[in-house]
Amino acid sequence: MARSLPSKLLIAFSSILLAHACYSAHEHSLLSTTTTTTHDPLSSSSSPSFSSPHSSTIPSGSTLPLDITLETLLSVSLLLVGIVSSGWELKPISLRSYAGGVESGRILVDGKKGKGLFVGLEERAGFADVRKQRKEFTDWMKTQG
Amino acid sequence: MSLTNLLNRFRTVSVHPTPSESLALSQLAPSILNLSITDTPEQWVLYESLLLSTLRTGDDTSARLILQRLADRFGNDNARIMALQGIYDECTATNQAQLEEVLKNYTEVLKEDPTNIPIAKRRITLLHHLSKKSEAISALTTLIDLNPTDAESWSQLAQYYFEISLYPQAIYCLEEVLLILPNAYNVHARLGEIHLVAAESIGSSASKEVVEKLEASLRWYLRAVELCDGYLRGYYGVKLVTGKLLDSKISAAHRTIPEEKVNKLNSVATVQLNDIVTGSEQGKKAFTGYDSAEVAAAKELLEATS
Repeated sequence: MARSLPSKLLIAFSSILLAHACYSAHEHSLLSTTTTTTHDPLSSSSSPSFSSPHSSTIPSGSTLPLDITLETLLSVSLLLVGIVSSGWELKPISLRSYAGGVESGRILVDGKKGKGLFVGLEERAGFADVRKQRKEFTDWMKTQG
Repeated sequence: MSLTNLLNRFRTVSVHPTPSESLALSQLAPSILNLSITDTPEQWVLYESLLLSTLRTGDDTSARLILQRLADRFGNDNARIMALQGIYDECTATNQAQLEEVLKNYTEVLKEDPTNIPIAKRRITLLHHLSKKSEAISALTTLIDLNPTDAESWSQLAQYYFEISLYPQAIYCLEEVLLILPNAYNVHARLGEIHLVAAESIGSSASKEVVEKLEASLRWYLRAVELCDGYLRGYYGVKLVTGKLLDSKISAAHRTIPEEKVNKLNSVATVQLNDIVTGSEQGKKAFTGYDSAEVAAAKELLEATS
């Protein structure tokens, strides 16, 4: 797949951005678990209530900082744009270009040169006059000597 | 060679091969017959194509063997096998009387089962071969009454009408084909050709009728190139017909398409044909599909009008 330079750069940049967003999210979750575990013995020893460690762990999982979320979304969209615009040849979706490709030999049908899409209407195998073709062949053989 | 390779060699050749192609295919017979029978659809398709090739080249012993194997597998009363058996009988008949005998067999089969389409088509072809053209046409119209959605039959009927110069009937049949297959761009081009031939068959070369037919022909050709990008046959027709319309003998009063438009179409077709001709002469990869005879004809037309 031949890719153009700008889209290559875009893919590289957005990949780094995505990796960075993943790393940040991972670090953030580590940070919140370490803070809760260090917080845990303290709170359990100081007060009989179990509500305070619970209230600190549940929101820590759901409140990923806004900048990480935005970075993830931005990097994924840039990556998509980069891949889509990377200059690969799209398959024809209109009959006009597909039929034209088959006629000119640009598009191969089953890996070989096609004979046109509706050639059966002009060849008409059901009505093939094989006896006539046989006679033509005999005549041809005579000219070949 | 494997089964797929052999099958591909048959697929690249049309139903009407040149004698040298037939010979090459027919010579594959021993290697195909020596392959073990695997009972796959591909193998039977290969057998069927080989049967036709051997019959074309007169290798009747191989043909007999292939037909025997096909009949052993599918039974003698299978419609398709019956048609193949019919082709074999047609080809091996040595005189007129034997051919008439084959024809009688077909008629009897159809009396028992009028819906045996392959045999009905064989009978029509044989009638046409025996120069009973009007009988062939009436048999074909009966078949179409029975099976009106068969595009192949309509297309064949158009050909028969065309051969006896009944152009309006031929055009009607091809329009029926288009009702079944509206995207068949080669049928559009064929309609253009028939309109053009019909226009040329009219004696007085500048009458209103001629202009009408030429314009109809141009419209069909234009639809053909609209449906198929870079269609050599279509652009050839556009160039040819616009050239005729621009002929000074044709008075402007009869025209419905303005002259500047015709001029523009002519130059577009010229550009497209030039592209195709130079592309295939240089052997570019995107132009390898064109038929060399068609390219040569396009080149000749370009040189004649430049």
